[in-house]
Amino acid sequence: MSEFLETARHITVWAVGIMLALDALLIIRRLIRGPSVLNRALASDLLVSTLICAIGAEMVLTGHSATLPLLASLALLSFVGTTAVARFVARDSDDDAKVRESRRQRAKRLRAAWQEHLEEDRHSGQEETQ
Amino acid sequence: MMDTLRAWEHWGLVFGLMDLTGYVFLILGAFLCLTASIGMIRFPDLLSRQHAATKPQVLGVLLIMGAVLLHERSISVLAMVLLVSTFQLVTAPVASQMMSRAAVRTVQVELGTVARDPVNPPGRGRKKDGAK
Repeated sequence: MSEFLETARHITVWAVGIMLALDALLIIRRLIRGPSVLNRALASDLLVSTLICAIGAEMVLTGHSATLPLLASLALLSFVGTTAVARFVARDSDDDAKVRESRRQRAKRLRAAWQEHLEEDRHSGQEETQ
Repeated sequence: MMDTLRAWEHWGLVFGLMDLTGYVFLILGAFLCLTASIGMIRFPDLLSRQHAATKPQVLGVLLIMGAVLLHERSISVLAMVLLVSTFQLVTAPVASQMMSRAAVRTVQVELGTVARDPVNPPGRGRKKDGAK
């Protein structure tokens, strides 16, 4: 039984280590590439959750329970970080050039419409005086 | 004497099975975390990424906490594990909801992909300058 458990422990060490490392790498990829602040906040939240999982797995596989308070503080901290980012986020994106271009076009269109409106006002005023 | 020895053997078997179940829980939890990160990469939208990020991730953390509890069998570990699990279960939906609300308010969501318009719900009358 104990030999079997030792084999199971070795298998679990490798499987969990590889899966969590791949997990963290994929999340870091999203953290680098994610096209807005909200995506990055989501990815960092997920990274902290992965850290919780990794610390818990390490605790199980080496057989101590010294880092449990660390888990509790990490769980609380990730929530605070995500909520702060979500409260104070503004509209932005990595492909903000498109947004800026469309804003500029919109401003141009609005200015043209306003000029047209002023022209109409002036014409109608002239008609009234005539 | 023999009875106590047999009892200890019995408990050793039970502890071994608990350890084994803990390993299975660890592998399942790590697999769920991996699923969450694959969803993070593969999904196209912020809201669907959020769906991938909260649900399997919370279940993975819960499974790993269950593995911790199955390996360290004591009351203090039970208390801390319950604390961490409650934190995860309470804070993950709140953080997800706040983040998706921020995404909708700052127009980072294609509202054509959402069934109900969350900014101007149909009952309340539409705002003039609301995000379309």
